[in-house]
Amino acid sequence: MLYPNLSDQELVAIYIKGNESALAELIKRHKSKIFTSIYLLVKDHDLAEDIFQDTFVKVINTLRAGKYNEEGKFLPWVMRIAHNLVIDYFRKDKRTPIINTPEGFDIFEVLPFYEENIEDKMLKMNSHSELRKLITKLPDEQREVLIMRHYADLSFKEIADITDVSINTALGRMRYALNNLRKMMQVKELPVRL
Amino acid sequence: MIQTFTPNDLLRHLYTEDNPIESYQIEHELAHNETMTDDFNHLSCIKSALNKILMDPSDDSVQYILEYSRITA
Repeated sequence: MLYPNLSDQELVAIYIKGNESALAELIKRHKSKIFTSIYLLVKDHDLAEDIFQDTFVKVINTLRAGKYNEEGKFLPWVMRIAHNLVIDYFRKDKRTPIINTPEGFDIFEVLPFYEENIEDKMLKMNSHSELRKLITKLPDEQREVLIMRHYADLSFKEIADITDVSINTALGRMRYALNNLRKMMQVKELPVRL
Repeated sequence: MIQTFTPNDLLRHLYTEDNPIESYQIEHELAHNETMTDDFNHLSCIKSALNKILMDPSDDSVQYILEYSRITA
């Protein structure tokens, strides 16, 4: 039995009391945004599946331990868990692609180095997958803010707090991310209205 | 008084993070400022495109989570 009319907070409360179908509804409600965010961060489908599972295992354990107190903010809370697991993975794997870019990053400086190997061509199935690829080409700081704001539903203030920057810096990174995406879509002749 | 808006104001409006008064003022400006309207429409298009590229995890992943929850209850 599902509960489409209940709030996330109500579903969490029901789940903690032992109703398993409340968890199914929460997953159904948020799985796309969470999974897409993870995928855009790790750029690997199988790894995204693993981290998605690990995220909800941690969510379940935390809820059962009575440590959840983010009233009404279930999705941002889950996204923070997912984000931390992604960071942990790259720390352990020591493959973190640290890219320090100036705020005035110009995407056209990167485009000539855009790899077009066979695998890339095979993956170029449609405009949607192409846009996902373009997002993964954004500088880390821009991609991170875009994911946190657009898919994790965090406010710019919350993003600023998490990333330890000013709100204006968070806004600026988002603005560069959207503008750079638009430029890349123009270069790749992707329709803006997908 | 001439009200000026920054690109960051426009972005906050796009994500409805401005307060009602700011929102009204920006909507009023958008109705009269073609350049600003173009900028806002570009941002809106990208935002709309981002909504269309959502991906779902596999059914196996979802089942794994639900099974984990069930057996650890």
